[in-house]
Amino acid sequence: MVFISDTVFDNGLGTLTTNLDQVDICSQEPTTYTEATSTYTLGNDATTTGAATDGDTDGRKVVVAAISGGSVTGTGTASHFAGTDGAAVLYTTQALASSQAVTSGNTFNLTAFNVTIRDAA
Amino acid sequence: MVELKWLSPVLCSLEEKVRVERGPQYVELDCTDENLDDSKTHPHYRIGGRDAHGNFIRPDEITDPSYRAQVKAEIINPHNPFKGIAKGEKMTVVDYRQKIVPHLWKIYVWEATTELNKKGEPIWRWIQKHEVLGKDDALALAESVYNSLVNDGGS
Repeated sequence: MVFISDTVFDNGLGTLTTNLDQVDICSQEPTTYTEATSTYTLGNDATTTGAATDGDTDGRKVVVAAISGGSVTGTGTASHFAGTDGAAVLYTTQALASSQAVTSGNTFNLTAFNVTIRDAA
Repeated sequence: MVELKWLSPVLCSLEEKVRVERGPQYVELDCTDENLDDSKTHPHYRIGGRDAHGNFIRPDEITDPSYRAQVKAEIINPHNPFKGIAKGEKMTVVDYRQKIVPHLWKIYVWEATTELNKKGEPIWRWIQKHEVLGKDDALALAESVYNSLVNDGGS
């Protein structure tokens, strides 16, 4: 397998550093931006994404900052979250470790999460 | 003629009453080792993970005691909509890499739901109405849906 320079990984992850600035909690795994931020969203908040650094095991990663006091906009049980640019693009989605029942008008917290591109096997 | 506003290369808005967005499909599969293999489905569909609807995949086989207890607690909670998916039962996955079905253009309509916000008002959401393989066909159908909404007094 060919060696891939960090520059290649970082250019990909840099898209997230520049653009991933909103996280939605969702009632199921969204497949599009529209689903992530409207159809299945139960709440959202602004966030920031750091610059690329070494991955925990290998490769490179960025860290999406934790959320505290995000707005719950629907009532249901969140099972997934999604990272978007808040305008048109869905970048990431992942299941929550623990599902969470939420009620419109309340707030939610979410721990920071990594987005990692692993080295090729 | 309604204006088509492209918000991204795969997301088009028709006056923010109708949207067309390309994305992967949900697929229902048997929960088997073969279907959980990373060559078939995305790596996050695994024992101890969740399917696309939030259900736990094969919770009886989770070996980590603390996580197993947490999963069990969620499953026995009568208010929790998620269940455990045992081996051989159906699970729903997103076919990101089009290994089973192609990506489709999904047509959404902006409409009030039966959900209420904290003020007691209906929550509006984009609700999927159709999905179409071809971009041109999707845009034509979206325009037809838009015209129906406008002609029905939805403008």
